[in-house]
Amino acid sequence: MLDAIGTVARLGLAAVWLISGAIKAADPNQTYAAVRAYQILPAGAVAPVAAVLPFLELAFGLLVLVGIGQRLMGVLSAALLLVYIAGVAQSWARGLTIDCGCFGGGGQVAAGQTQYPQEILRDIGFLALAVWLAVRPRSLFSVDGWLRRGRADTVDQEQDDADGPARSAVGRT
Amino acid sequence: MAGGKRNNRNTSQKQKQSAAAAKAVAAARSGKRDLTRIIGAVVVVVVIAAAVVGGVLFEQHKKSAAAETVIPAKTVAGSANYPVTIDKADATVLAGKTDAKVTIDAYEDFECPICKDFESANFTNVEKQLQSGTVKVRYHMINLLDGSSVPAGYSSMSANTALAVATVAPDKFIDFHYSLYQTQPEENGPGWTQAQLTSLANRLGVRGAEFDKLIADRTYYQQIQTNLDNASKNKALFQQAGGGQPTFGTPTIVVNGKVVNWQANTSWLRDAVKAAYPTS
Repeated sequence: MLDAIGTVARLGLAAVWLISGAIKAADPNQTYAAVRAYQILPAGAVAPVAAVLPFLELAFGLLVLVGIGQRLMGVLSAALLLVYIAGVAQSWARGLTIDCGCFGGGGQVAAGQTQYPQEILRDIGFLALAVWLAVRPRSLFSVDGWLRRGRADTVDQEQDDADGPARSAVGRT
Repeated sequence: MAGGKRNNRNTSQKQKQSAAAAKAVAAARSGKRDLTRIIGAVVVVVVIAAAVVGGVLFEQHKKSAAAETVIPAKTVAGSANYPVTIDKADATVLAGKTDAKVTIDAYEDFECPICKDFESANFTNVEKQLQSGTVKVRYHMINLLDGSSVPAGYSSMSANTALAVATVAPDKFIDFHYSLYQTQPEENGPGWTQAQLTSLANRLGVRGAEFDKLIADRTYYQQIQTNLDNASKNKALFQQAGGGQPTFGTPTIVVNGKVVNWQANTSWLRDAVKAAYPTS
């Protein structure tokens, strides 16, 4: 049952990264405008970050989708989402009027058209998926599971798969 | 008793054995787990590194593709039929006969896509009126979108180059202006470089030490910025944009001192000419 929830979290997070990455990759100039609108990065850093970001998100999406290095991907996804949330929060705090450009779009918007609370809430939802994977990186149909099972004796499959809890138990003894 | 001892020994041996077996299984299992984790981490690092490298390469490809563009030089045949003069102090260019009753002030940015739309929609009609002497156009080339190119500053650079063209060879200004809107760089993309802009001017026949110095010294940069600052404070030029407060933007088209909504009213030019020349 928990594995099923993990699977849903994993596929959901993969969809988030793949969709947002694909939209950003399809319109690099818009992505550049979106990154620049946050007014955080120095002028020279905006272009490289805007160029890399879509591919990074697509890579995250692919890795999460196949379920390899699930705990690591959960941690990395959570870290990137925290950066995004911080970015939106600082825009809100500084009184910038921008669209987060989370799924395409981005850049300046009229004063009354910001949606900071919604954007942050949505990102927190995504963050929950990532945290789930980081804390309990077990899900169905993952490469991680296949790697463990494929080369393993079938004894105690359940225990063997319990990557997280088993490791902490070992650590304690 | 003896049997019991042996039994005990057997039991303890068995326990030892099974404990050892359990240890081995656990070791094997944790080894497997470690291996899985290592494989996972390696794959993650490799894929992410590939994505980052891919992004950088893509960015560089885009830059070099833009740098290789040769802006086609276009000439406007009828532009010899009216005078073009530059006001150096004001950094504006006036095209058309001085006694024309309709004065258009065009605030444009070479980076701005809607300015290109304006030019595409109105160039032919404006050109016709310029030639017939009913309209004169004052071009205010400003740098509103300096931040929207990579590297920043294409707006200033292109405006300065256009003004340098107008200084050295006023009769080529219309050609240069037209060519640059025909082949506009993408907004938020890499703009044309100074070399590309200079090449366009050269191919239109504008060259020489004076021109090169105007480019090298960035002669008009200061006044271009001043013009932008003044326009941004001038409420008479403000327009409603989106849902927000009216602000200054590009293009702003002013006919005899009044901003026109050229997008909503496509007959704005015909109306203006008719009002100024009721009999014709």
